[in-house]
Amino acid sequence: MKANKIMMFIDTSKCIGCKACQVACKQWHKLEAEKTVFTGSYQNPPDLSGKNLTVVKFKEVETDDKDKGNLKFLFFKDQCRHCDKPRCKEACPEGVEIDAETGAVIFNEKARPENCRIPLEEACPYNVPRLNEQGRYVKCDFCYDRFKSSAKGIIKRNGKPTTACELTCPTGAIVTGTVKEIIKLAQERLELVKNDGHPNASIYTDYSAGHVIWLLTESPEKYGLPK
Amino acid sequence: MTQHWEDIKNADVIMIIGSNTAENHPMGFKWITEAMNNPNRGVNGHKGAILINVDPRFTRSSSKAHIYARMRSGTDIAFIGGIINYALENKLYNEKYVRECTNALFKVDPNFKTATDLDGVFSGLTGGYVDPVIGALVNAKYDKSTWAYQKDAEGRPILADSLDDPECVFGLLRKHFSRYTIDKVCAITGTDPEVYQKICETYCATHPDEKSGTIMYAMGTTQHTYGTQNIRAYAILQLLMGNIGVAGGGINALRGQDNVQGSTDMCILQHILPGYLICPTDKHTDLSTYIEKTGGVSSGRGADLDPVHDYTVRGVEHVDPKSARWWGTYKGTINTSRYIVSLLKAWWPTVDHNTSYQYLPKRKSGVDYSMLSIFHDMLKGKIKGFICDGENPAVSDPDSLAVRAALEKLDWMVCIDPFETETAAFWKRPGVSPQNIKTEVYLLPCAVAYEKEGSKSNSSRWAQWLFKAGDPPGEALDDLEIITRLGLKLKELYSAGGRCPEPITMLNWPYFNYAGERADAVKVAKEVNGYYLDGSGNPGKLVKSFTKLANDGSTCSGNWLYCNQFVEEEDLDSFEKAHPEIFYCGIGNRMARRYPIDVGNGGFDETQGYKNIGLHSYWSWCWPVNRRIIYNRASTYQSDCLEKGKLAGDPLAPDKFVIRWNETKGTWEGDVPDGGWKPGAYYPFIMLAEGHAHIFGPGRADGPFPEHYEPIESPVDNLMGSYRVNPIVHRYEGSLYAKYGGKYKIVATTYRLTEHWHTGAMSRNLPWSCELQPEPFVEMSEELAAEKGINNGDYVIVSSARGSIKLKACVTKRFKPFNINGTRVHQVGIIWHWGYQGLSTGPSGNVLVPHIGDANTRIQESKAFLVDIKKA
Repeated sequence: MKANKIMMFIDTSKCIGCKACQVACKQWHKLEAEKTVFTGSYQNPPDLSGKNLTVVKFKEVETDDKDKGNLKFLFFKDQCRHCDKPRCKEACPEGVEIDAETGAVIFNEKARPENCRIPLEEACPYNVPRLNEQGRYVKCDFCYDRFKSSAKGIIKRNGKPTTACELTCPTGAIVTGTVKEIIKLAQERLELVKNDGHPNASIYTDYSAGHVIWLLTESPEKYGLPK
Repeated sequence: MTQHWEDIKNADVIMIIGSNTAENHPMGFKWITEAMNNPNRGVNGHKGAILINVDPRFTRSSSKAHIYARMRSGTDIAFIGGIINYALENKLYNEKYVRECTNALFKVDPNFKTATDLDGVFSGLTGGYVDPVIGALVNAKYDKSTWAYQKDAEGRPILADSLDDPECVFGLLRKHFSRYTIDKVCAITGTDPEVYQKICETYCATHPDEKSGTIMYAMGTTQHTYGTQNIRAYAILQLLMGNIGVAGGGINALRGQDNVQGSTDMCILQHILPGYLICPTDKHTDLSTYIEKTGGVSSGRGADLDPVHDYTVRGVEHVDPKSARWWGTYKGTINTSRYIVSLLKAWWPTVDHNTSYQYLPKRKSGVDYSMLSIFHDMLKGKIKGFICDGENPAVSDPDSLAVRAALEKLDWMVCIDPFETETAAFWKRPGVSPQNIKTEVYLLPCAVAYEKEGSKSNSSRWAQWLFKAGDPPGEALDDLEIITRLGLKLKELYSAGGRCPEPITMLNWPYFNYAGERADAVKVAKEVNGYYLDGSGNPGKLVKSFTKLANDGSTCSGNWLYCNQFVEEEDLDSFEKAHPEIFYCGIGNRMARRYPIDVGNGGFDETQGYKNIGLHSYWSWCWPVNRRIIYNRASTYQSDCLEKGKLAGDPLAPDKFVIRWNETKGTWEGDVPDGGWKPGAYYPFIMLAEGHAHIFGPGRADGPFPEHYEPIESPVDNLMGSYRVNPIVHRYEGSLYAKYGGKYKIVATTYRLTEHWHTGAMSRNLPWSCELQPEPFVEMSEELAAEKGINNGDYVIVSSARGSIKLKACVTKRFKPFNINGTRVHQVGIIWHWGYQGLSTGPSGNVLVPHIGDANTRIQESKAFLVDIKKA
């Protein structure tokens, strides 16, 4: 079913929490800056919003590993998971489309509260969709327009189209590819990372739920993630 | 760097110390990621390079490390000294390399005493006084006459037969670091001894020929009163490991901005001229004296320089035929003479160089002209005018309140910057009345990086040529244009007469025609490279390498190190001639080469045996002469080793060799060799008089070996010796320091964030950057916060002997209190990007930092000082 579509793998074991992905996304989608304040965390803006389609979340977690200072500084790039069975589409059938080329879940102009059975923030198990200033729901759109064969002037990597965040990530923590490529990569990385000092590493949520999967170096609970 | 960014992927162990690489060099970090993910790298059976991170705080870099060690700010020499001692005691050093490539076997004057003998100092300490506030000896100096080799009747250094000889450098090294046991080191640094031992084992596992370790460092290393010695400690460790000149090794300074390496190479510092020539003093009365003293036979560098910056390499008058002595006399000619004469001819081509030498301003011998001294004098009213080009000292320099007060004493100041910085706006800063300040301030708007054409030299020494993407807005001009117009206007004014007009009126300024044409960076680049002058036989032709620069006035070169960056078409090498398309503009402008495939010198590729270590030799150009890894002769056998079936010129690490000798072709292949001579013809460290790397380094002002001292402001005594601080440090009269044992007890450091850059002159004017990090803050442990009743996000007042600032607290697990020999010591970290100008304003961290600096360079000690904290 998903065989020809694109997946994204976010490897948090490589992420350095630099937030370049946040800015690249804003640049590509022409989103303005928000006014923020320091509340005691590197995380800013504090949450997804109409102007921020992806946010890196920071968490400090104590561990038993003395060699690593008994601490982990966890970075989690939060964004839409592009679910196979998107609940947002159930709640707003006219406003949510599945992109034919990538399989990404896209909100269109009709994604407005008046067209939704329940607010999309609640429909989504991950609390991702947000209203923008024009009264429309927005979220990560997988940069589906960058993958279109008709797209012009898009910078590619090794001849392949990329999402804006993938192109900018300095450590290669964000990778897109076919389902087969990504699942293979995720399995290999999980194996390596588990055997290299992170025995509690896991794939989140699992390989089959959606188009975006993460490699976590700890359990999802430690990251404060819903299961 | 002695290496380059991509070379990091070749390392088996990477130590990040005095740097937060993931934070401040996120793009560079990808090479660390690549090394970690390469199963062919690593030691002790680990598949993938091992990342060690040493830092007082758990950072973004620490989050990726295999081993993280907490270390109190200012104790790097103890930390590294302990690893050195561990290597020596457990025989985990590369003996062949140490014997052949370093001065380990050289015997030293028996009157030389290490800091073990003298309880924290070396022989020859003289002068100074015990400062009542600092509570320790300062402003002292060394008579370095005992810091010298033993010599035979011909002046040749005497070598010991064995590393066990107590009189040789190696024996003295052992003695000096014998106090640096794991227990003593961990009592000083506050590191867990088990973690520390693991680091020693892991790092010392890079000593075999086929393994290499790299050290990546930045301001956490340099910004201390013994910062130079911090780096010396890395140098000694790397030499013991055999890690200099090899792939994945080296000593790697991570530069802070895209062209600071370029500005360093152009030597806009007080003591040097372009190409690291010595800036003359009043003792160098004429050109031949200057040449003899700064580059002559009796030196590796000059034997008789002023004590402020003394590069003395004592007593190596004897010319060993196997030492190239590139900074001295090579094959009968003092190389310095070629470079200084060519420089003089670049600036004053129509004047005889003996005359134009007199045009050069001279430093007064013994006087320091560093930024610390400049602001000290400015505050006293001794400086009338100040041109501040792309610098914001009101935020970046220590003791910000004193800096801003000093600016008020100027008659005039010119600021050249794309935004109105705190420095440019000091006269209307919060709390002052402009009518009380007489300084006349001119703000010249200038272009940002993307609005200028020219080269930028990065940490890798790669000078990459870049076009401009657009014009600067309004009246803003690029800096070349501004300086050019200023220079030409001065020439015009001085042509009507004045005091000593010739140095200005006779200056050559051919970069544009004053009647409206814009200054041309290409013309500057060609002059920096150098060309033949009229009367030379080849007038106007570019000089193809610094080996061709002459000392008779027939050539000019604005910077000998950069000679070879721009060549005539006929002087292109065979690879360039076969691939002219690699020049994206201007054939011959090597800085504009962009060949994306990884090949070595001459197009040496995999089919010929290249191991793809990332040299990328035809991507841009680096100094010197496109040598990507310097000192690379040390990466090969210096002589035949028949027991192992190896010949001189064979690489120590064949799987990632940098250069190797091809007997059939009679040449080296791989990188540009560090001197193209046959294997064994010359010792590998060609810049030094002995040709051998300095484990014993008599050139520094404060010791030939590094010794642990406490920072000027420290809450504890020095456990390693009786001298609490570096006795050679210069204590500025009138500057404010915390009284030893007084009310300031919390160790503080300053650092930066990924999301902003430096003084925030640009990034705090960008809405996106301000969104990511909107305010400055002070990071502290949960334990300290609990003691003070501070919650995460609360406003606090941080104060030091110099002033106080109010900012938010970031209460974090990433700082923990230190146990320093039984005393609980808290440490905090202050984000210093902010000031009173820009879209996002806030207090400046440098308000708290002391006006004092490194004993050799006077770089400010921003990384370890004392503060007090209370809830606001």
